[in-house]
Amino acid sequence: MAAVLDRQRKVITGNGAAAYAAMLCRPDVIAAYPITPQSEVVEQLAKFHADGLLDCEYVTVEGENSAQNVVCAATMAGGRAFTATSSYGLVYMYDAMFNTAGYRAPVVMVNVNREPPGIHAVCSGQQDMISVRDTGWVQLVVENCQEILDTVIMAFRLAEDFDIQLPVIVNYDGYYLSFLAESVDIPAIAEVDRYLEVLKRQPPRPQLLPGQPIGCGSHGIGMGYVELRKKHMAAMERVKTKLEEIEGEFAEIFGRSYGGQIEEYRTEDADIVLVTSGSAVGTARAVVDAKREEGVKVGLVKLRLFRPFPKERLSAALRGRKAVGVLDRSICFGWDCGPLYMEVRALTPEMGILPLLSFIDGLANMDITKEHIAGMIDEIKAAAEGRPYQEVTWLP
Amino acid sequence: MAEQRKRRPRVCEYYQNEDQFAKGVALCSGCTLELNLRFVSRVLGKDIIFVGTPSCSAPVLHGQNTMAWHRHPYYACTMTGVASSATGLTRYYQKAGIEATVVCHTGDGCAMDVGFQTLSGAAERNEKIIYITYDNEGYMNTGIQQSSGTPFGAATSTTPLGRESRGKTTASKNMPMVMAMHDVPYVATATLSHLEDYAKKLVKAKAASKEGFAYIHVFCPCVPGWRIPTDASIQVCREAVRTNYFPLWEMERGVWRITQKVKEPKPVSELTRLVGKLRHLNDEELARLQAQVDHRFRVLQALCVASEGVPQSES
Amino acid sequence: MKPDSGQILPTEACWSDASEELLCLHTGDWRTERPVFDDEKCNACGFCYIYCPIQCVGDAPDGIHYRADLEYCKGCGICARECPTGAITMVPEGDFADGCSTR
Repeated sequence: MAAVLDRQRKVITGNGAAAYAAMLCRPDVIAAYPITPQSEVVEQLAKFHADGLLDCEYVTVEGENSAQNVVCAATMAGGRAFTATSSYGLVYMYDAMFNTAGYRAPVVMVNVNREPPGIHAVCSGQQDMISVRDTGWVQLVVENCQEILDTVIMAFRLAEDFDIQLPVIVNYDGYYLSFLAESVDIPAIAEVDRYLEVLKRQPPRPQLLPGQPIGCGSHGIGMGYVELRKKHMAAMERVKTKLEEIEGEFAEIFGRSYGGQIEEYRTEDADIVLVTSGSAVGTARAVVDAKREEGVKVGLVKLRLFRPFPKERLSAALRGRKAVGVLDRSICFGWDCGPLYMEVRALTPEMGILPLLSFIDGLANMDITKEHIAGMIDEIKAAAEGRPYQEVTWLP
Repeated sequence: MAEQRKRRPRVCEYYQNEDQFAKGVALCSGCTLELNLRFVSRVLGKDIIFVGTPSCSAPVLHGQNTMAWHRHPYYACTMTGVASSATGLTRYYQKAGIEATVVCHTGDGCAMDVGFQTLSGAAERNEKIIYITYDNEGYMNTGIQQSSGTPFGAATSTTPLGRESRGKTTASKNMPMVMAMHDVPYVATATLSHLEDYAKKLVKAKAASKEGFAYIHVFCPCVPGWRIPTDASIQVCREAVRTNYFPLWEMERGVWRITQKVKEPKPVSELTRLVGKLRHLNDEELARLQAQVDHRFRVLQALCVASEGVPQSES
Repeated sequence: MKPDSGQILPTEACWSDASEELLCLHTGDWRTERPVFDDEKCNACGFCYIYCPIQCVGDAPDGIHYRADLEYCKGCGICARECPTGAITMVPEGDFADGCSTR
């Protein structure tokens, strides 16, 4: 039986925050494989389990592909399941990720962003999350350790909601957040129970049980297949409003919220806007404040929900601006720019034609500094003022 | 003829129920896999949960949209995810206090090649599942391609006979032996000609799976893939046992025993002459195959002798 | 489980439900020859019963001997081959007036 944990304020790392959150949600099955910079998540969970704080089946799998299959099957049998990975591990579970999403298995996974294989690097970067964007998972990206903890809890609420039934990844930057120790408000387990209680009152999902002639993973034939794809897409679309709804519920119990799909910072009267995600948002806030002191009417949009892409709210936030820059911590193969930039570019019909700038920075643990961001804002300002500007800039 | 008392063969005592499959399923005429599926269904009972994957069994084990070909609960997954999915199921059932028997049912291609890592991991963790490999020595459903279960010399679509090739150049993996080396509670070989032997092993595997990992490797000739007549598949199983090509043995907690003693094993050519994919082997190739069969059997015998009188292991 | 009208599946993912009907092929259409049982030679050992891959060999009307269910028998011939007394012969379908199935 999990011991009742009271509310506490502790200095913990991002990985520690992820582990606490998973533990507080009382998962039935955890299966994960260690990989830098995620290892501390699985180690902390193992410690919770060893100390009797976490009453679950803890499976020490021999690889991430297995981890994903274990948690998917566990949820199909009716359980709550959690896993954690990064980069090489994320792409190793690629085939299983399609399985989980296609089965509409409500798995919650944290992905600690790191550069994927190809150029060996044990370094932060968002290319890993970009590489799995078409697997059909919900993807969130967070800014700090508190948000890691809160978002993992919200992820279970979202994934298992009867109207959603989709797996969710919570992404956070390796090194910048995984090993950063911050003061984090850890809720009482009773509060988390209360937050997730509503799920018990919803209709049950299909469950694979002995003695019932129900099968999971039937072949999709013809229009049956098409119908399931449409249902999946419809569920993805519902995530947008559901996220706002569950975040409201979260705020009521825990007193914190993050704006839902996106957060707009000082955009009310902004002529120019910088869009970014992850830990870079924290740095960008400080630079936006400094630029505002200088009289630059700049705002910041934090992209929190990446999949589904928050088309409506983002295009509303960017419409009418004089220029917009998008900071990517990854690249878009096949195009010559960043991937989030490409997705923002696809909003042109909704937000109007306006100068759009792509900034690629922060690959391989190269810091995205305040100076870099100040330079980006200057470039966006140049575009807004009709001066020559560079459409795609690689930093440093 | 005078009236006779109907007597069913002894193996029928092991049948718990009618098999749960539809009477008409899309498996080849004479397919030993069909007998295997129905037999497992009858002996292990209708409550088992099958875990399957793309393979010859998939068109029958997995449904189509909302309909299915049998009444067992099942979980279909990728070839890379069979033992791991079974792990997820059995672990949750244990957590939730649900009594269940999870039975993985895959071909040699999955078990020995692309799904091997996850199978080995599940065995190492001693997961409470039964894993049945039906070994038709290749990837049959996709067109008779070679796998690490294909024997030396066999002609397959990816090791065809040609001007420069005499079939597969390497031996198959000794998979049941590999699984036995994981120190799990129960590992056995079985085939469809020796049904009572197989039934006993299924019962033991089911009991063992309540404590840990049980593995059964079943020799399953493929009619089109091996180029044998539809009526010969059971006879091919029998010859495989009689030639020691596929000895029937079990390993129970570290104690090995041969369950079907063959007094005078026939030369392996008695098997290869029945099987189209091996019929081209010349004397030298046959000698090499014979040497391999003999060597493997000697190792098996040595393990049996070495574990005679040794108490079963605790793990 | 019943889908909403116009939908094929009642679920969000691909679950099948065999609690009512099963899919079934009329595999009796496949065969080119059928097993013929000679009760005079038969010793009712039951090998045909256990070795039939389809498990379609069942009791003959007399309850002692055996017959194949011709709706599903694929005509593989295993029963004939395994029969120790030669009581089963595979005979071409064309020799029978009832022909192959009409379904």
